[in-house]
Amino acid sequence: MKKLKEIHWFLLFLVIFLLAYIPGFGWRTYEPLLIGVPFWVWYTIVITVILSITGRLFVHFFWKDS
Amino acid sequence: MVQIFIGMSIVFLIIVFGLGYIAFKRTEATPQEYFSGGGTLGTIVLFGTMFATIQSAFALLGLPQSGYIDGYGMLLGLPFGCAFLGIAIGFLGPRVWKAGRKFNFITVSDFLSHRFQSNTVGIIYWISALGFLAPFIGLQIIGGGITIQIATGGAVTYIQAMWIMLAIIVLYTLFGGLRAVAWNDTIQAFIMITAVVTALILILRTVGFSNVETELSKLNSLELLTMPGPNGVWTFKYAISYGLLCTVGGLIWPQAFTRLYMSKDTNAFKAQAVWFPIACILLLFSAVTIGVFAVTILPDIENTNQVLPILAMHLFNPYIASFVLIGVISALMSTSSSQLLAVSAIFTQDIYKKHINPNASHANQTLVGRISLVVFALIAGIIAMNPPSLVVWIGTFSIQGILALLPVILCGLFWKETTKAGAVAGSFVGLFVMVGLLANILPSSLTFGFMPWVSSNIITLLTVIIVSKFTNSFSEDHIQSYFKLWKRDEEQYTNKSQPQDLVSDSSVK
Repeated sequence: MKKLKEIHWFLLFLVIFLLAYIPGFGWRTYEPLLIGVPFWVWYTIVITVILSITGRLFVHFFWKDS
Repeated sequence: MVQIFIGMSIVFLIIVFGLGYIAFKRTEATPQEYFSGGGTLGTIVLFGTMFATIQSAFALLGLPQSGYIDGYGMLLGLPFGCAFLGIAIGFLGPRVWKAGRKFNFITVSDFLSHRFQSNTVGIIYWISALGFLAPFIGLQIIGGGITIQIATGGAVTYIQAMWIMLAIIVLYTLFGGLRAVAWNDTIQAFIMITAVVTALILILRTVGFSNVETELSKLNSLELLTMPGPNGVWTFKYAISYGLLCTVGGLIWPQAFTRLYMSKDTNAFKAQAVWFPIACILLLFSAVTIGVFAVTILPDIENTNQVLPILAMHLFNPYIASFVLIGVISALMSTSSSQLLAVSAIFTQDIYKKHINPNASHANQTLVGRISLVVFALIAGIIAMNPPSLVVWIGTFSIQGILALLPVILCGLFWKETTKAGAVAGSFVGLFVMVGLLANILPSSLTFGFMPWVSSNIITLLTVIIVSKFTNSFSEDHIQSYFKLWKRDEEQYTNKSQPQDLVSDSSVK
């Protein structure tokens, strides 16, 4: 059970990691601009925020459960 | 402006020295106290000192410069890489901390030598750490000297400025040790984040959100907004290398790794998984965006590594400009003080105590630590007196080079089957390949388009694994002395009391 949980968390972090980097292959355009900043930069920021939230959940549920 | 900057700097210095003095009064003359702060850092100070140590001159001078020259490309990998560092601290921190508590480790070499029962691995590590870290300290001082020179309008010359800054860093580090550095780091982390976010807000107000595209278009610089940027630097491979460099480098650089020994308990590591991503977004996004937007305001800056100070003096009122400049200086001071303390600890613990005077008393070790700190500071100052044209090369060379033994350290922490021969072979190969790639002795085709540290680490990891598979393992007792301790990692997060077997085993030293 604990191993299964570990795998779930590992996969979750892996997905976030891939989501953060994979779009980098395609970004050759700056449009649309949001508040003067390219969309892809906002995407990177959102992914980092998601990582922070996931980190908080990981700390709360996984380490607490163990 | 100059008077206001000097006045605010004096207030800042009073705080710095005040904390240094309080730390000095609380620091006993033992190496553990001087180099590790007695292992008493709580959650906030651990975060502050880790963050400020990692975010060097590079964050406040290098990132705006990168935004100014190469656009937003840096933001593909770096903030996420730094943010992931928080999670990595959560995983590695408790292991390093527990081993440090049990065996009284102070430096990275202490861990490597004991874990692999090999002085050779420890020696290779401190050779690489000293070799790569010393120039990096000089780099921080160069940045500080130029910043102060600009801030004072040339009233203080570059040479005067860099020696003044070095003297300040040495003074509070010399007496207060790690405790002074960590407390000051925490204050400095707050100042640098606040300064750079304030600067971004004011610059955005000046440029206007909707004018960026038009202004950049007029300057034919729209490529700053795309990947890989106008100079083609930020390819996907380069961006991912940089991001990962920050994740692993932030842990393995000696000044950062040794901080993992210093936590009060393992609970302090939990918060890093949350705080690091938020702080990284604020600092890194703001710094790069400032650089990009600066192109529309001052498109002809020659000294591009001073984009932020020049912009602050050009746009802001003297008080805010001075605050931003102090933020830049804070970043430089926090990193260089940590680096100086790290090299001093390496010299004292890994060279003096192990090879020159094994019977040195605690007071003697602390004295040697203080003397060596001054000597390394002088060396850094001499390097900084004649800023080489190779400043950027030195920076890139240093931050990657220190990672030569990364796979060996990670195998020591996570892979039971790592053998002594595997670790020794990996250390030799790691250092050789890293230097070979960075100095272009080995063909650059070996990097496959990534930064050199990636290929070097893959080759090193394969070496450790292959050699370990064919050589004798350690005794079960030795392996269990670590892995039995680490097995209860997660349990400790919910249990404030620490395991009984964390009672110091000083016999290993």
